[in-house]
Amino acid sequence: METIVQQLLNGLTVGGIYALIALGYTMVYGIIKLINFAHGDIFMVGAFVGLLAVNLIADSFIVAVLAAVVFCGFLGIFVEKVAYRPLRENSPKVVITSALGLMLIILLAVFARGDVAGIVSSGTFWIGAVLILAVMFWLIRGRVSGRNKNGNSRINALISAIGMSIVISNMVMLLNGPQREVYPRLLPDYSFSAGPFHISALQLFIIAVSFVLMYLLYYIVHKTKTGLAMRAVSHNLNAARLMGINPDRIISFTFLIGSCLAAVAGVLVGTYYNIADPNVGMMYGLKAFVAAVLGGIGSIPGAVVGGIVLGVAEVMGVAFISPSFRDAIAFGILIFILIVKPTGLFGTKMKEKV
Amino acid sequence: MLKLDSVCTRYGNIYALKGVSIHVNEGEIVTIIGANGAGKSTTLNTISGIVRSVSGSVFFNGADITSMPTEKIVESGLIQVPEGREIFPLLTVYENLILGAYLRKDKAAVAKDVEYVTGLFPRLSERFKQLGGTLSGGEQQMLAIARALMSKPKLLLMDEPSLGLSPIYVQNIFSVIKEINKEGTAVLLVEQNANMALSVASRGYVMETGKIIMEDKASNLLDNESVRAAYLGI
Repeated sequence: METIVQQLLNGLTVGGIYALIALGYTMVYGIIKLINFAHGDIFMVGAFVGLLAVNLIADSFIVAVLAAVVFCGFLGIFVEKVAYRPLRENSPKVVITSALGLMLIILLAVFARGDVAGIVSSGTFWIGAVLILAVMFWLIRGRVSGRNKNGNSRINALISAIGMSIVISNMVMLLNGPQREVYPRLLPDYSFSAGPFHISALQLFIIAVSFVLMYLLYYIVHKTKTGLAMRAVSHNLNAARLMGINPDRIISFTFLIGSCLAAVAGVLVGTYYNIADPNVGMMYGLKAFVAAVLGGIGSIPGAVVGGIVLGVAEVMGVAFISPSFRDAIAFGILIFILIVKPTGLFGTKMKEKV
Repeated sequence: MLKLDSVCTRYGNIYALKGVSIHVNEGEIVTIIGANGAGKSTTLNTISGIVRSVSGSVFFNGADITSMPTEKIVESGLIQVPEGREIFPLLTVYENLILGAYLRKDKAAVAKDVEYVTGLFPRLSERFKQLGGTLSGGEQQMLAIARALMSKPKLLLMDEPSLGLSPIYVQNIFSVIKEINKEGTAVLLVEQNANMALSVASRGYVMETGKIIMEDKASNLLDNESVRAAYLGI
């Protein structure tokens, strides 16, 4: 019994973090029906930017979070502009903008490292860049030949997302090196006992921060005009435009919010585990994706519940079955939910218009 | 105030509009009647910028809006009530109305206009907190019109407001259209219910396979033999 309660607390901590990341997936999906696979990498970048800020400025949690939120906010908007908007607009002008954007990333990397050979030798980095460019070129070719006007744009965007994910994670590896970095304890961690339980202040703090941010998101989506516009765009894009809403601006805003939440999660994870790892983005991203699907992708309360259920399930599995089952549990849940209830806990059936 | 100059629009290789030229003057109700597939809705969607013309131009109050983004066109006071209502089914009636006023900053005046439009459609005020999707077809049409009015339109484009409605609702909607017009809003009305449309309009266009084939005063069209035979079922 004591173990169960103890593990429940651990599960809530991990689950809160999954939920924060899952919210970004679910919001973006709700609005443009895209699984933004670069989202997990934005989370990882958040951890590293926080670390950088701590090293450069001050050893403070607030500094780390602020730096991560600001940087990732811009990064999220940038990713949307470079990798997804061109596919939506399907016009040569934006495709060129996007290609230039990617060149800029590569050039930045060259300058930052001062080492051209290192960039060229990074194979995966190029795979990512080439993936995105290939989609763009395919699109232009399709335009020129009159085929592929809008068809497959969701698959295109998905491939572009995977490319973006590879580019970002390799970017961090180029700048930082592929090794893990030690993350400073930014928050005082002491634990106290309540009866038989050991409660860690850090865990309580992480859970509290997660819930405050989720409430903030709820407030934005349900109580502000921009939130109303977000919901309108996600239900019916054309009707939203007839209201005078600029969908591009709302989509950018959605990426901004999602990326900021992921950035906070990045710093929290770094502080909690004392480690920043450039390879971790993909795995956390996938787990959060599972959480979003479990809750019903596109549903905000679903992402919260999905994240917490997944976190608790994982921790319980580690405690009572075996630590090596950790990832298997998450993806087992994914398979199970896709078979039993593909719409997830809170998802509604999509009505396809005929 | 609105002028279309030989506008052509196509879907793929099929031309839906083959050089449409129409105009709407300040304070008028103008109707476009025609059969299914004549290009009436395409005309409205081209004006709103939801579909793009391949040639020709659209002017609104002297400004060329041919290639303006939809949201900018809306900002200039040209508002469409789309075919099939297109209300937001998962938002409440009140939220739908507030979205109509999305571009307005004057909160107090918006609140006043909520009262004004619910005065036009008392049914809506009883259903403020209800989700849009739970309304009946007629109520949804009322909501769509009320939502459009919330933006203080200068010209209202209405696409088949009588579609699928019971005769009582049709009467109700058309009397509101007249009322709106009296308050100074010009209306461009696309209808299959030609009889009803011509009885409220001052001028009318008859459209057939992407072309305007006739233009006249509404009363003359109502008396015209071929119009009566083809569209009025008399």
